[in-house]
Amino acid sequence: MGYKPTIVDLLRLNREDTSRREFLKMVALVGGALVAPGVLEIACTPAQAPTSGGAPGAMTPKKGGVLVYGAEAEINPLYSDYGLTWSNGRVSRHIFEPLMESDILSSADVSPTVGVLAEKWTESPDAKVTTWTLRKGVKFHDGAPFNAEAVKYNIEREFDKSHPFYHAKAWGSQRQRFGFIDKVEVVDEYTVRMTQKQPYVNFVLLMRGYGVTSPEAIKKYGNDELHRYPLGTGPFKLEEFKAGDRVVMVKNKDYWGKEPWLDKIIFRPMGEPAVRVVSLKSGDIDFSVNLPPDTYADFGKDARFDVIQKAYGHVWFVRFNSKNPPFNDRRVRIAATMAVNKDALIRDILKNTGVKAIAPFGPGTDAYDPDLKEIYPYNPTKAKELLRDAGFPNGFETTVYFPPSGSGMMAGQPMVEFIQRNLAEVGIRVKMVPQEWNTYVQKYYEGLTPDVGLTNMSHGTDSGTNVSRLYHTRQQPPNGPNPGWYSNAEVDRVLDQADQEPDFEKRRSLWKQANRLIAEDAADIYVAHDTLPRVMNRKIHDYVAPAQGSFVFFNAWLDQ
Amino acid sequence: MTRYIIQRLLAAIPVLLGVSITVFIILHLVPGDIAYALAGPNATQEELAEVRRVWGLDQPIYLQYFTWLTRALRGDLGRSALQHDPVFTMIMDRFPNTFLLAIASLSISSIVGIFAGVISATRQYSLWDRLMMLLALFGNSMPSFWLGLVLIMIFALWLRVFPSGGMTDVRGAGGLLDLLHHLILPAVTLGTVSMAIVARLVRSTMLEVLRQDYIRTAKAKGLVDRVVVYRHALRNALLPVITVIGLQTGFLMGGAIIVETIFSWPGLGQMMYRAISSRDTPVVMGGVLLLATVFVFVNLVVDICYAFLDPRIKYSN
Repeated sequence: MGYKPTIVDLLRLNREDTSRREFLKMVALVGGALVAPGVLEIACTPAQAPTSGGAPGAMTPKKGGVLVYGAEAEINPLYSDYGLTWSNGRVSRHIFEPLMESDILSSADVSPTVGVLAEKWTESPDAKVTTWTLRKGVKFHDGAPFNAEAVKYNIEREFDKSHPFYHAKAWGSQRQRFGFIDKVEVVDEYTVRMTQKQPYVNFVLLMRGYGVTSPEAIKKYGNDELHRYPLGTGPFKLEEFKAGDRVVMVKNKDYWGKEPWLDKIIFRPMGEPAVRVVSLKSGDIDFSVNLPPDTYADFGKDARFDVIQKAYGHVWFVRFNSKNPPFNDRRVRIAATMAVNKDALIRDILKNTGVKAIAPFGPGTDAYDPDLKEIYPYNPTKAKELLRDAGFPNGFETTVYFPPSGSGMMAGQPMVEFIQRNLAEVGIRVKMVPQEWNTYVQKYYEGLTPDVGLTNMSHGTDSGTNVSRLYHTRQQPPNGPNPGWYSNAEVDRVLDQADQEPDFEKRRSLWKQANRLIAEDAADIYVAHDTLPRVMNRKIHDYVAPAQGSFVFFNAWLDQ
Repeated sequence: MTRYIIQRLLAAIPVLLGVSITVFIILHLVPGDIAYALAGPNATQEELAEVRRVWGLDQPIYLQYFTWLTRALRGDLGRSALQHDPVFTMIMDRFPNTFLLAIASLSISSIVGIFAGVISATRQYSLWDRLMMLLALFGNSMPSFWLGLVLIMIFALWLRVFPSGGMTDVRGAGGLLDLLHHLILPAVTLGTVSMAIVARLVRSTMLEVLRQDYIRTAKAKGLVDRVVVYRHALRNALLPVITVIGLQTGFLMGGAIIVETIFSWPGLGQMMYRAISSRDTPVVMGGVLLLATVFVFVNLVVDICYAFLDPRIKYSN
């Protein structure tokens, strides 16, 4: 495995080719959960398909070939938690496997929860102990055996400060994930028991997506060097990581599961969207995501490409400052919501690369309610009436903080400008204050000051646990990401009830109920759900678009 | 001369210290706390505090700087908050790539710029002169992010003679020809502005020199135009040009940020772009220190070049 890109290498004639911000989509790091029914497959751009090259299995797959993927961002170090960012997850999930996950190989609207490295898991009735039965005959890429000791060693590294390789620089969210654990015990070689400090019904959901690294690699390379040697159990192994240039993976011939068809996948970081467009058309890359919205129609007409869209739990919204006037008045929040022509915004600004949002949690999330209809449809006349009733016959002035761009922020500034124009039409005069991303994130977490009425954010999460994380009163700053100081006693009551409900389906009903209550209370202007448009060369077959922000090429094969 | 060089090198120390202090202060004056990005979206206040402690962000700014400086003097520029690699290693991995791009751009801009300037000056007000200066004006006015995309569209998409980005063909075997094939578009994009500046400067200095008595004398003696222009006039016209080319070298090293980002060229510019936008302080500090060192070094080389080009210039006490 090579790492250093050097001119010397490149100058060597006939060199054997062996082969790149985000603060990060607000991913469902905490609370990976079962993906809910109703994930939309969008039928709005010229061509789309849930899988590529016709129905899976319709043609005879061919072995071999190299797939080149144009990544929209620099590829961060490949740690075992593939959920760190969606874009990095698309890379690292090829190497690392979790105990269980929402099936990343399912194109179904409901990604079923499947065991990957765990064959099964059982929870104790008091919701304190989870026992995992592990898959046998699995080896890490360095040959080390996968077993209960390996799982224990990995998880203790995340929360136990006495662990020789305690990962102090891991994300805080990791500690939240593992903060629930009191101890991890090896029952036998393939059985591991996790005991929580206190009963928590969502613990198993928190474990979803946590990839396991070879303990031998942790010991050998330590915290400082481990990211250079990502050694998991997945169907692909890292061959080369040249920061800023390429990440090359080759097929793991010793993989415990179904052998991949592809020989090699090359991930090329290409931050400039226009260059990814050209590279697709010139054949330099075979697959890419997040291209300029006005290019999809062109790709759709081109017989060489498929355009695929699928909602995955993302939502783009404008949050109100619910604590301070004027948006502490529900009528004003509803008026602002009814002033925004979401259909026109999605058509004109997003070029149909998203679907209309009517509640905080939409398609692809546990809290999604397919029966929920739009509560406050576009109606500027009604909006003006509501403002008059609330004591603002001549409207008012307010301020919106927003990041002009950022991960998951879709078209960003043009979307905020569109909403500004819509709000001005009913008398709400919005002063736009763009913020550089890092500054913005800090302000977001510190909460909106009384002079700021609106802020724009997006999050991509499928877990019902995030309803509580984003809307519960206890999550107001500085405790959590509830910057609009939203507080609704009824919502809190339902969410607290969900946190005590051991039955998952009943819990999901409560999350749906909270989702509806929040939408009715108009905590935010819900605008659009991203559908992660991706363009791929039709020589790729059997690519599966799961109802998730990450995806893999395990089953994909190429015409050669 | 040796003493002069040593004096200049010693004078570089306060310059580099000043640059590092300025950049460090600017990075800390900009609002926004990198701890939020490092801790992730679900971090609690306690976890944020832990992140600040682990990364040393809870220390007063002067202590943070002092810590950075003492480590830097030992060759330890710290670790990237994003890439987790030692900054020194990252710089050493990428410097050759940027250096190659800068040298290629400088070569193109100097050779083409000087040649275009000479043609313009020797054929003043001719069609060639106007064409060259029109192209120079165009080159000087075109922003590199626009020019880069246009070149990609023409040469990578329509004509398909050059690749759209990267240093090598990821599907191919690599090698020198493959590298040169990938180098041309970014080098031309990066070098265009410098090329235009050099061409305009060479034209004006050449016009001045060509009107001087010794040129008239040379022509009166019957020397052929080529000898008069290239041996007698150009050499004297080059002195201010060398200064500009020297300054352009630094510009090309630093200005590669946009070009490297567009062309997915794995160099320092691309690394710095990401580091600046993500507030990756150790990488920004290391990168700026390197660029400042390059500027200081290039300026020294330029001053030494004067002595060789103009025998009247002597460096002594």
